[in-house]
Amino acid sequence: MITAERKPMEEIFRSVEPFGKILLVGCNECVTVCHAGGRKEVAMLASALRMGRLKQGAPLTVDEMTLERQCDPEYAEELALVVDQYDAVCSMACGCGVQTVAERYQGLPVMPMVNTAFMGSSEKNGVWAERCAGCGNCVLGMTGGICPIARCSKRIFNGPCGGSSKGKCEISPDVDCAWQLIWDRLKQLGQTELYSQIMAPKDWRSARDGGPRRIVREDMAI
Amino acid sequence: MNQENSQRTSNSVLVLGGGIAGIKASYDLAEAGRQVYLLEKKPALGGFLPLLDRQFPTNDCNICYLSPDADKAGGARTVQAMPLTKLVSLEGQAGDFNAKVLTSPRFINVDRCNACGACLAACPQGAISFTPGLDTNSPTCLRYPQATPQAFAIDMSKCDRCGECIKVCAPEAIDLDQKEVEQSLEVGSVVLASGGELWDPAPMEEWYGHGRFPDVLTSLEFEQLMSAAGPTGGKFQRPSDGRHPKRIGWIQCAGSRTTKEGGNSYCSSICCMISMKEAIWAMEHFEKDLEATVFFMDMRPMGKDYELYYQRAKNELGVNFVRCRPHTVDYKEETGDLRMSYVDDHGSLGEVDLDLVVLGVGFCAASDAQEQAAVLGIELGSHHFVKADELAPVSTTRPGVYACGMALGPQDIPGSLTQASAAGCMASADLAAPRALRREDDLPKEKDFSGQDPRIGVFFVDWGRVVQEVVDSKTVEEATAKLDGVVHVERLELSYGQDGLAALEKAIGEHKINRVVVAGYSPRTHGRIFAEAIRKAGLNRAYLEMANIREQDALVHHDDPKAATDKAVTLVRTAVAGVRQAKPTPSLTLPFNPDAVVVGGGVAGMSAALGLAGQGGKVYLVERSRELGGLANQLARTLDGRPVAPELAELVEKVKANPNIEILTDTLVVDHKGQVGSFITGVQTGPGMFYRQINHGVTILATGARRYEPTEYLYGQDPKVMTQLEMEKLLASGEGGDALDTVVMIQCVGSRNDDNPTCGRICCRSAVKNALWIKEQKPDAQVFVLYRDMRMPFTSEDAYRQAREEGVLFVRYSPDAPPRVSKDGDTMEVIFKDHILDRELSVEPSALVLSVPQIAADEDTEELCEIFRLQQGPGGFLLEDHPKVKPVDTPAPGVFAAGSVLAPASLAEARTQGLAAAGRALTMVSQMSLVLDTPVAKVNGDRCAACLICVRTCPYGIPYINADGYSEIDPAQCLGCGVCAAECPAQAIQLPGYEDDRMLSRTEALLEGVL
Amino acid sequence: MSDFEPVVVVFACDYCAYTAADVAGRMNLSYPTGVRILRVPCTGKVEPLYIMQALQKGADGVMVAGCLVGDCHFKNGNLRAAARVKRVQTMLDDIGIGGERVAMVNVSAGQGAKFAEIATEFSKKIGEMGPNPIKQGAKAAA
Repeated sequence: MITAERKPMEEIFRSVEPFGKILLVGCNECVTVCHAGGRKEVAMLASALRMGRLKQGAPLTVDEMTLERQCDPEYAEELALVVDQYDAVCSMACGCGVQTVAERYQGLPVMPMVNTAFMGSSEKNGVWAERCAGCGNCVLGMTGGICPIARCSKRIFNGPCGGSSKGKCEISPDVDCAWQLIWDRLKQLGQTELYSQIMAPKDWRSARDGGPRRIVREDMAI
Repeated sequence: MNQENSQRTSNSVLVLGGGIAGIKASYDLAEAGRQVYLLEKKPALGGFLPLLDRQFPTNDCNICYLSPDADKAGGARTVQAMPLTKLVSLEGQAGDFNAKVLTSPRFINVDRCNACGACLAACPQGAISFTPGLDTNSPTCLRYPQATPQAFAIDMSKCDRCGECIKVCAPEAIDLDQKEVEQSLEVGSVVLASGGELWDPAPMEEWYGHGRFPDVLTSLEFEQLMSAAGPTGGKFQRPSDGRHPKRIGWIQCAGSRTTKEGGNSYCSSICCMISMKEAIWAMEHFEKDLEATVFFMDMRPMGKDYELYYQRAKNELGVNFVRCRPHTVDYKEETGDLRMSYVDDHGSLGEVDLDLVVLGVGFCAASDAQEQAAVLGIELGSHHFVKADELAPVSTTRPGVYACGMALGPQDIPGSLTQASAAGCMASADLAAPRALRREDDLPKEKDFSGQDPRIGVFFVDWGRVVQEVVDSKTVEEATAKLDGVVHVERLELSYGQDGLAALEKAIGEHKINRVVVAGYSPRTHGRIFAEAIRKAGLNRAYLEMANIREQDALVHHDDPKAATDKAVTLVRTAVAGVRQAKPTPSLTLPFNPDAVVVGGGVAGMSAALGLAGQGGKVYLVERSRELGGLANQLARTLDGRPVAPELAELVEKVKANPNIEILTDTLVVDHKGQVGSFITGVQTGPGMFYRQINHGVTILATGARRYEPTEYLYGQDPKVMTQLEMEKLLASGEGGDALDTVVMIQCVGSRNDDNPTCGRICCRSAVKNALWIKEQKPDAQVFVLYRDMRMPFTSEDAYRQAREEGVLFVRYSPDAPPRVSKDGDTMEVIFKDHILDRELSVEPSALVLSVPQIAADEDTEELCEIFRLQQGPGGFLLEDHPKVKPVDTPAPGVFAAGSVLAPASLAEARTQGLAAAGRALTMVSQMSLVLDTPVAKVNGDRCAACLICVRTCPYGIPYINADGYSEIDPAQCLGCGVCAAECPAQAIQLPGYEDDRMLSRTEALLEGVL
Repeated sequence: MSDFEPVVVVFACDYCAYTAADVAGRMNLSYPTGVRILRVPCTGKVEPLYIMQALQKGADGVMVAGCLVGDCHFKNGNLRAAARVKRVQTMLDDIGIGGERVAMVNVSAGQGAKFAEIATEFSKKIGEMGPNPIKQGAKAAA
């Protein structure tokens, strides 16, 4: 899942300053699940915006709407009937959703209300942690199911580095050393021989380094 | 167990005593479809509990838990609460009693009194200041703020008929000429729950100074001192000079465990816990640096996990414990403080200065116990408590009359409640087979208002009482009539009986009203009454909203009529806004399978099976071994010397002979699914382990515990070393011979240590039992019992005394210097320290007996918990729903537990818990269908993002993601707290009555005109 | 500002605080008339949005009143409520309304006197803070 967090209120107020009437749009996918931009968070932010602006003596009209999935043009299309009435669309979806809406309604400012954070999973209620960096070439089979790219601070392939101490990373005692985790897991799996195999330097072209990525399924894209 | 079915025609039970035990028994019976007459001598229900500020071990204020039950017991259609009433005679036999009861005049009409307190304020005798709790004898007495019934009473012995109260009583409730009323009741059985009394320290004033020194209090007086509702209004002040006490001493066994004149020889069982609780609460809430000291002989925290509470008090919270015999309390003129002298563990005299002394006084039988026993025709046992029996622990000597609570002996709340449910179960068995409860069937069909505009009727109930010259009724009614959707405004008088409700029903029909607002009372006290009333008029119960303009307006804003009037308008407007959006809540009817599965064929399981058999459906008794009887099979005799085997055999025979019980021995439970009323349990049975599924409605778990296998003290390495059970077997065989010459027993082997911090609870009693038996077989035997605290509850203390008198030597050891055992060739030596002589002693025992606890059958209990989705507590025992108020319920609806699967249990406890679990199960079984109409959370599947947040946050683990990929909440299990709805990020879950739009409308109406 | 009478919305748990408020009435105690109570089944049902909406509609303060810690009828609803109140407080600080205008309090059913005391104290505190700042803004905008 893609995780996100609401932007600081100060930044949000600055970004909507020029407007008198906005449409606040949530998304019922990832940002709902991570409590950043679902129906409830939309209602909360709307309430906060109305109050904050009222206090400033410059009332802001905020209407609320939540789409099933903002990153699909068909769902973004649902805004078409009403969008003309607003000075701006403020999106609480991740960056994908914001861009999909912005692309569809090109004459209208589309402002992000959340900071998109990372691809992660929920460790427990209210706690999310990064698990995948989207590098385009998965090695989890070699590393006991623990990603050295997303979970090692240095993204090193043949760890650990000298900063690993008592299972923790040198950047913070709260961060587990990914390579310690990998080693422990490999031992548990009886696959320690995988650890002794030196991994070749990673070809980062499959990640962002090769420029923006697309996936095209020829069999579907007709 | 009962008479022939044909004789069982009555459906009514008489319950004597309105304390927690009586309330529990009544409420269980009422839920099981029985008619109950609940008699209470005092003006209000409640007994001791309302006098306690906090209750161990959770340190909660359980009035929150009790008062809904008391409300229900007082308000349920089938419980008739009869305060100020006593039993005069009881004729007939089980199944067919005639009871004559006498109700004393209250001099206040309960139906009219609104407990406003005006009479209290107006009564001119200076003595009439109402301080709740302590001053229970003030002429007009409301026992505690949530009293049931909600009415005052007048004590005629103090009243001089001046008439001031009559002048101020707005609802004209006072009637000084009321007469007593005698009635005759036909009942099938009787439950005696008339409680006990606090021991009065007056006979020992010479030593304790209670009565002479104002700063010597009993434990209950100290509770009141700490209570927010007490005489100091929650300020922590000592009575003599109002000073904030910094050194408090609790004196244990005040009047207990003594043969002195005026005292009681038995142990009161619960005072150790009460004192610890008071010390902890005082430290945590009033004085962090409090020097809290408990002066004690043996600490006896004997309930489940109470030992942990003791350890926490001692090791973490800093309560001081001084082992001693308290001597005298004196007053020090110079400082105004108290000085207590005592004899310590080593026999030397100690003295300590204290600001306040609390006497850990015990409880004794009610002063009218003998009189009552005579009326009931039952025998009393020792100390005037009701005589009961190890294997018939809630039965009296008269068939059809059962007992529970402090009438049987000093008792904590879980003990009282367990006995109450057990007595309820027994009492129910004397009645006719219960009627199926189908309350929806007696009611008219609900009208369908879908698509219609709201037509709201607003009813102002008992204006005369509400207004109290505060709220201007005309202004409020005029404003109400103008509200959107309101079609009718009317005043109702509820104080004159049912006419008011009839008028409400009539108005609903005449004005085609489809939504109702009732303005006047609190929904807490009157919501149910009006919900039923509108339901009778064909409206769904959810079409009601209440405006609490009495308690939360007129009564609190009496000094500002203008503002109170405005607020009344606001509150009514808010209720109207809320009810405008009300949607009907469908009541859910589930068929209920009356059959039961009881897992475990020990004493607890057999008792549960017998309790249920014949009162519901069929009972499947599942036992993993080949034989019934469980741990009790290994017991030879009881503490009072009676053989166990014949009575156990009788119990087993009864189970085998009962046509409603199917016994499945050699059988294991392997899976369990479904919900209360329609469980399916899979078992593997017989030598071939055939798989079979049982359909049933309720489950009782009584899988027991196992004996700790000691590794200490050469056990297993020398034949002289044995456990108490093995010694018992040896004694039963009569072939003890030389082995009985010099017996050393070591207590707390395998308990109260780091590995197992809990107390074995019953091992002290086993040791005393065997010590006495040894002395019986060989009077010149030398018996040493090496102990840490002798924990001998209630009259087992008498056996402990007898053992000492017969020459058994009890020597205390401390855990940091435990006894040492060494062996050299054939010679074994036990070395231990005598605290009084302050030197080590050495004994060569002919037998070394280890007192080992019952411990949780870890793997079995773990598996059980997995199968039934339950939890284990400290020590691995099954965790009950609430240790205080629901001791035999589990958190899973329809699943109950009994016996040593919960904690080490004596025979009597196992038997009581088995019956209690059956009694609790009967409250469900008797309902042929389960009708649920409380609001439960509803999921809008289209909106649900299947994010799992509801699954994770529900306190009961009820929501799950269904096969269609969205959250589903079982309405039969949801308790309606609304946490899931509040957490749902997609606003997909709504709690009826508190939907988002409805809450917003209420908020808007509440704040209309503010901006 | 001295004649300012704050309006305080109380979300009160049915099991404890709401009952305590009833008890306060029966004990003939008093607290300011601006204190207005809404009943909820458990403070665990009180959503941050309810608090925001109350302030947005003009309340000067909001109190969430639940059972004593450890006494929640539904295990831990009051702890969830307390955590949500903290979150709302941060947001209110961020938007200049003031987190202090919201409070979580705990009372048991029997503590009528404590309820009256808390309601009075909180009302007094809000009175000292002055009216909800959106009122001024609303006037200015009008």
